[in-house]
Amino acid sequence: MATAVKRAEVVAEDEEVGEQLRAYLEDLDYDVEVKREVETSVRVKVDIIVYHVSPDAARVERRSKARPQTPGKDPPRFWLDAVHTLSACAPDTPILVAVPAGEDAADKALDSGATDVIEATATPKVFRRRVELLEALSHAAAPAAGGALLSVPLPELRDEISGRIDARRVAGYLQVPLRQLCGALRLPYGRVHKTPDAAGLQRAFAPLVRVLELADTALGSREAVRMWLNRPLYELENDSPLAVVLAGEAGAVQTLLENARIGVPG
Amino acid sequence: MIPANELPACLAGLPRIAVAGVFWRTVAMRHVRGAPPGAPAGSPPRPLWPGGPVLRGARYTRAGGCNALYLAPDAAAALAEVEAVLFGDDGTITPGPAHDPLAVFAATVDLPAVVDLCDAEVQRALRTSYAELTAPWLRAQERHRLGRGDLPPTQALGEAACAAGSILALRYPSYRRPGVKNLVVFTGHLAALNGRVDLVDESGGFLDRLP
Repeated sequence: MATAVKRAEVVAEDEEVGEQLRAYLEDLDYDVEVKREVETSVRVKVDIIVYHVSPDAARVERRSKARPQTPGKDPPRFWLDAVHTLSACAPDTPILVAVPAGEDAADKALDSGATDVIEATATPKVFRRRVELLEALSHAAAPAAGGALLSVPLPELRDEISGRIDARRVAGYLQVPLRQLCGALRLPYGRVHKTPDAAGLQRAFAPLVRVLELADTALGSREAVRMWLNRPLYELENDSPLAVVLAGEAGAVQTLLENARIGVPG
Repeated sequence: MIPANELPACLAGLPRIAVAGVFWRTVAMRHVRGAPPGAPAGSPPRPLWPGGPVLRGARYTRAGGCNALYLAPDAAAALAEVEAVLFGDDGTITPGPAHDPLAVFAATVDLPAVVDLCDAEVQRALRTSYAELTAPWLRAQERHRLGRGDLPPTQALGEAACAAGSILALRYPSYRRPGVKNLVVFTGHLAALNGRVDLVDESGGFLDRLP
């Protein structure tokens, strides 16, 4: 089986340093392109970018953070702007910035879009280790194929033709009369009954449907969600999530579930 | 709780204590597999990322308010805070409901300016109580958002404490584990007030520290 080619871009004003970094990266099986300055045009996608800050460049940069650059202009003159431009042009690519030792350049680089920094005097072994860590991070951070972006939780709450939330189906899922649900959301029952998937209703139903999606993801079945919806919770002032939804406060239940999902304490 | 407009003056007069030691945090595994929201792609994971509570609000954090890091004094309490374990009244521990994988992190903290809400004198000065500090806040927050009520008292307190600029953290009672004193750290003040929070990980797999 063929191994995918790993590509690296090195940006170094100093030709000798550029070639040294090329050698380090080639040892790690990278196909390396060395440039003298940052290009603002369309770029080839690479797996890692290494930017070298020379001692002279560090000395003339007195600012602590890059300023936004005008797209399509000449290459940035100052190194902070160059790092910022790289991170803007290649937002998914790890950028390792090699800085002179003993300066505050490392902090400045991180503030301007570098993924990580390393002292330019680092040994080949340290450099190799840092690049390997960045590779590992990059793989860990990559979204899984077919992730949440391309899924529709609880499709049974939506109309197959319009794709929109259907109020009647939501009421059916909750096992409450549509009229009662409309009252809770302060919506005119007649209008909802006539066109339950109307575009104008989507905003009102979205928090409630989000609650059902989160609960379904956490609990796994419609039966478990219904039991949870009907169980009084201290966090909801000893009312059940369903009662809180029907009191027009679905946002409280949504916050409960969203915070549980990301681990924010109660 | 005293009215919100009286909180700044009251907080200014409250004693500060120093808190140092190891504290704990539970984070869903999926949140430490990549960069936190808003960070440049390819950035390392941040187990101490303080941006979660402001997304939708938390007990001492108004939605959209100050960044905050919630910490527990032991690993069991950190797990209890996300209901991974449940504590009975007699101290027994039972497993919580099934959930996605969680990671528990330890951090050494050094916080020289903390207001201790567990202190009876402090509660008296604020005219608050254990019951109020551990009361449900979700519906009050929602009613406030809908224009039907005040900010939850704990959020008003957290907001004023952060705005004071001289308070690094609040030590507060846990409602999930009576007797436990948690911390909410206002991470935006760590640099100015000489505080720090360092993740413990000698393996080097995660590198994170605040500020």
